[in-house]
Amino acid sequence: MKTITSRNKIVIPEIKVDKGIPDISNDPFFLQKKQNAIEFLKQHPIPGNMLQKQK
Amino acid sequence: MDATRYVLTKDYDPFIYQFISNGPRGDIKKIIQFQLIDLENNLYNLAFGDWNELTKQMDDLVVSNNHDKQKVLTTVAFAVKDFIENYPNANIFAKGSTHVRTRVYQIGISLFLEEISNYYRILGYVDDQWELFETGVNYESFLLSKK
Repeated sequence: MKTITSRNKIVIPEIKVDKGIPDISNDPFFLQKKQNAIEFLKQHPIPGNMLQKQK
Repeated sequence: MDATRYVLTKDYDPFIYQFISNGPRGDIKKIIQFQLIDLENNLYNLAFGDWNELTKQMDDLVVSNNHDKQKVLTTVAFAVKDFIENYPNANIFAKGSTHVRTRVYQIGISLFLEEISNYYRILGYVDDQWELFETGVNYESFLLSKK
């Protein structure tokens, strides 16, 4: 006797992929933001015991 | 987070999100990028700003002022939540490009603190040290990770 033990469930992602997002890979704004963050953290490093580690 | 937010979309690059702010200044495309800055420590910088359709570049230091600050904050928070769900070991660093913007981030964290502190650990940098986030303290930057 055949029984159905599971059903295929389609999960619609809450956040969809959008092909129209601009390419920001070389945008100076984002590059500068990254550099600023790196500089700040060089001067004010986060103690290792305060970082989330690999589980 | 039940507060009203904008609809978020993602790029094929899983580190980039987008939403459209609506208000008196019209429709403004806002882009969020989680920038990997330390692979060993899974440390990402939260970068966020307005896209200029005319120049095809991000607008630096613009104040778009669409009278939707809380909605924008909620949307960014939702992007952070989604990102961490996909990268549960991530440590997310955030600092505004100005003191005013850092303060806006702080207000946003304070608004959701009770709700998010059950699942996330939030640190703030003040007086030359990193500490657990407390409301009422003016931090220079923030770090969020999953508990």
